[in-house]
Amino acid sequence: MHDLAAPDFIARRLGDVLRDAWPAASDIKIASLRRTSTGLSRENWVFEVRWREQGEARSQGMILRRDPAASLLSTDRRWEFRVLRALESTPVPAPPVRWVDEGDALFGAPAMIMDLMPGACDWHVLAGSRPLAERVQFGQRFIALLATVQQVDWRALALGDGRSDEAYGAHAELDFWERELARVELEPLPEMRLTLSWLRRHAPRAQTVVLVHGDFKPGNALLVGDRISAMLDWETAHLGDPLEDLGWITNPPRAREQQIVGHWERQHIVAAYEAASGMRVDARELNWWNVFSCWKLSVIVLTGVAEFVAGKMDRIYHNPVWLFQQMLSMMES
Amino acid sequence: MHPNVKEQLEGMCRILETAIAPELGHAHSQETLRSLIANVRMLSRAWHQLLPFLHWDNDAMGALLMAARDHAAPALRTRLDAALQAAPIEAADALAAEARNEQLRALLCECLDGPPALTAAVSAHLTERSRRFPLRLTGAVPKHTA
Repeated sequence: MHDLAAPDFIARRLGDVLRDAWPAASDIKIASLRRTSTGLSRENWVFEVRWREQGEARSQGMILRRDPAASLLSTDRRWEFRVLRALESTPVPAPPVRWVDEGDALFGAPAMIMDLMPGACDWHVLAGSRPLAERVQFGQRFIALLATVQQVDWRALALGDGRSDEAYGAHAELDFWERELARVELEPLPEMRLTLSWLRRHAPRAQTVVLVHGDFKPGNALLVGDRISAMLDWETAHLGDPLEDLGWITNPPRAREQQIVGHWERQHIVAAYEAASGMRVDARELNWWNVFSCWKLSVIVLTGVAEFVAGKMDRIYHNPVWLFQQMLSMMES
Repeated sequence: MHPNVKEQLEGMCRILETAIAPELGHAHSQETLRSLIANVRMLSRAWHQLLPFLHWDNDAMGALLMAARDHAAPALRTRLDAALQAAPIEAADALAAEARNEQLRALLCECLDGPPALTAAVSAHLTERSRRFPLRLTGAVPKHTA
């Protein structure tokens, strides 16, 4: 029986995997392996690979992302791998992927290996201590990056599944997250049911179908100086409505992460998005996506509640009443 | 009565912070402990508010369900009547109050398609309930992916 959390076990398996994946490489060694403290939906293990190829010594920082025993998200590793592979030929900065295993034979759970990208994650870069002009510029760069993601030609990259455009968007997202809610709902939640009923009645139709990141925020970006070096965490990426990511970004409960009071607020973000994307934002539709964002985030928190109660998660989550308050209030407006 | 519940919970936080936290070398363990301490601290502030909260919520939901019964289908009306006419629970029994709360919230889920005025009243109550809910960690936005 292997200790799946033991660094020795992980290092041995990484060596096996990389030897198989890189027949041209020899003398492969795994160094500086450690589990990072971040990551509630995946276990992240960073390490350095050293090897020899064509007589030369080489090295590369990498990261192993493994599904933990319990997670806030139930997502598909194969799809995430496909998205990241597809993005390698686009201007979207994302980590190159090396290897994926959907099963549990090698690491005890589905896992993926990708290159470690340069840069640091700063959750609160917009509200942080950098000069105001620099922070506003970051906000603008995030929105420009969102437009770049939405300009990805997903058809040419074979990311579609053959369905018509009408199959993507608000109702598809509601269907997915309603199934998730049914899976994790431990008690009657009239707040969630009332909001779902409202969302179903008012669901907008997408202007077009684009690649949606699903969790577009500064905390999922790496920064080098004043540049965004990589956008991370594509596990909830999907095809959908362009306003979905914008609704996530402008969602009022996330204002501390996504906005700068008085300088980079909802109206600035929407104007920047319209300029960068060439699309017009309908205020009512954006409000719908804000309500949806609260509701979806509530499902994610409720997943944490269910996993904790099942004894699988080492963090305590509570009913997301702060999100209930917001979404009920936005529905009234 | 000492140490009372609040003193015990606060004492646990102190011991975890002073005796356990400094011994943890791993960043993941330190972060896990920090979140546990924050939760225990929240319980020490809020545990005594839970029972009054449940009684308030149960009373308010009882009134809403009474208003909903006139618009309910016969089968649902029968179950609403049974719940509304049930014997009162013992005021100091927290578990009974919690079970009652769950029963009434399940019924409320079935009464969400009523006339607009009733739906608005339900929404207003759920908003107020969310505002009053005592077991909450402030600013707990999950890093759902990281």
